[in-house]
Amino acid sequence: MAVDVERVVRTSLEEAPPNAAVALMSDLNFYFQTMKAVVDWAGKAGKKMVYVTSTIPSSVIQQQLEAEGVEVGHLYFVDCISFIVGSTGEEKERTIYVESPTMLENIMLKVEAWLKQIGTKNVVLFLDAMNTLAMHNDEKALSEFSYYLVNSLRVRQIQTVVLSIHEQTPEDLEVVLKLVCDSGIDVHDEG
Amino acid sequence: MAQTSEASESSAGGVARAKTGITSLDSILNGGIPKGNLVLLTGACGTGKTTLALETLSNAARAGEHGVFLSTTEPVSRILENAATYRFFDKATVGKTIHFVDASSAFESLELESVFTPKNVDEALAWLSKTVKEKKATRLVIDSLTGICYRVGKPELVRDFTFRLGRELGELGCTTIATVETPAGVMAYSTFGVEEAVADGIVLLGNHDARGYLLRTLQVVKMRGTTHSRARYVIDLTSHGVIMVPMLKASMRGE
Repeated sequence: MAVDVERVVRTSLEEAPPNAAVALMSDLNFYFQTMKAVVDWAGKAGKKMVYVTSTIPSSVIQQQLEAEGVEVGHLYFVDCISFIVGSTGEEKERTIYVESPTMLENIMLKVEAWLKQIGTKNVVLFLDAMNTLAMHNDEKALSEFSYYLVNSLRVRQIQTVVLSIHEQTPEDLEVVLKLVCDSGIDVHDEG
Repeated sequence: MAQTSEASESSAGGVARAKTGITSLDSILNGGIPKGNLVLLTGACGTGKTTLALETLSNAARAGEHGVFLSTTEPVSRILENAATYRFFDKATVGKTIHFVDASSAFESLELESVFTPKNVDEALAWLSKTVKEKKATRLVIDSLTGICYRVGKPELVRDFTFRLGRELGELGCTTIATVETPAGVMAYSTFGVEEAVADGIVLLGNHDARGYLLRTLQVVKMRGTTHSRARYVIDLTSHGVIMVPMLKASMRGE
């Protein structure tokens, strides 16, 4: 039976408290649908979204979402991947670049930079994705980063959604996600 | 961690404080700099000394305090040109709540020698106190103290000058941030090695190489009159002001 990704994601996120951290584990096959569902849910809920991407350049994400008719006006990107693949191009209004996904403190700083500009009310942080950050960083650094990021947002009533792809998430990292997040959403093939 | 707070005075822990208006820095300092303190903002070039000092002055001005920015290294026009690029800086405050003063011109009009005589030291300190009183300033930025100390000359005279500077401004209730230049790559809190002993506070700005990338860092080394964190933070200088987050242990270990 085909899984209704949009419904699973939306229902779970709607039920999560406003300061909750949600671990979103998705099968690789459902990556785009899952990401799209999170962005769409935030837009329809009237939330601003700080979107940290370490997987696909922000310009590509925007193009793909727009092609699917998804509203992107609420997205504020922290793009950790475009610089290393040489695709930053011109300065973009809603994108801040981080030179490398290994610069975890810089990711934290750029998230803060957006919050300073857009405020902290009705904001959600979307981290896409933990498994790609794990390719560039060791587990201890990533654990420390996750604890700081999630908790610093939680105290300000900012919801966090941490996406990770099942097949590419090391077991130890899955444990970290379970510890740091309040709840989990599992998007996988029911067949 | 929210990054901007309305700068003003507070009395956290029973100590009258001058808030920097940078929330995370005020949080590290348990509410702000104890009022009347002389704080050295020390670091090599490009570490953010002038920007941070200017932001504290701007935040205080927004909360209605008066301040003086004494420039010893750059013409005021250049400082203002640079300040205009920051969103925290309001041009309308210039000459009203923030007074920019060119030290070279002032010292010239006082006919002080290029290397101060003992009498010149007295005259310079008297002029500074008079300026603070005239402008009703509760905040002073000296950018940089090093520029004045070179004119004072010998370390023992620099020590005495810094001590008297802190005492006289403190008595006026003026909280002073003095930038201090240190050579890149050298662990030092001041240029002459004596200023830090008599200053009330030291905020050390630096660069840290983490996995091949240079991070700007901030650490409160000393602050009389308050408990404070001594942890190292990573900072970013944005057009909206200074942003701080804790430095990850992995970066400290160089992982």
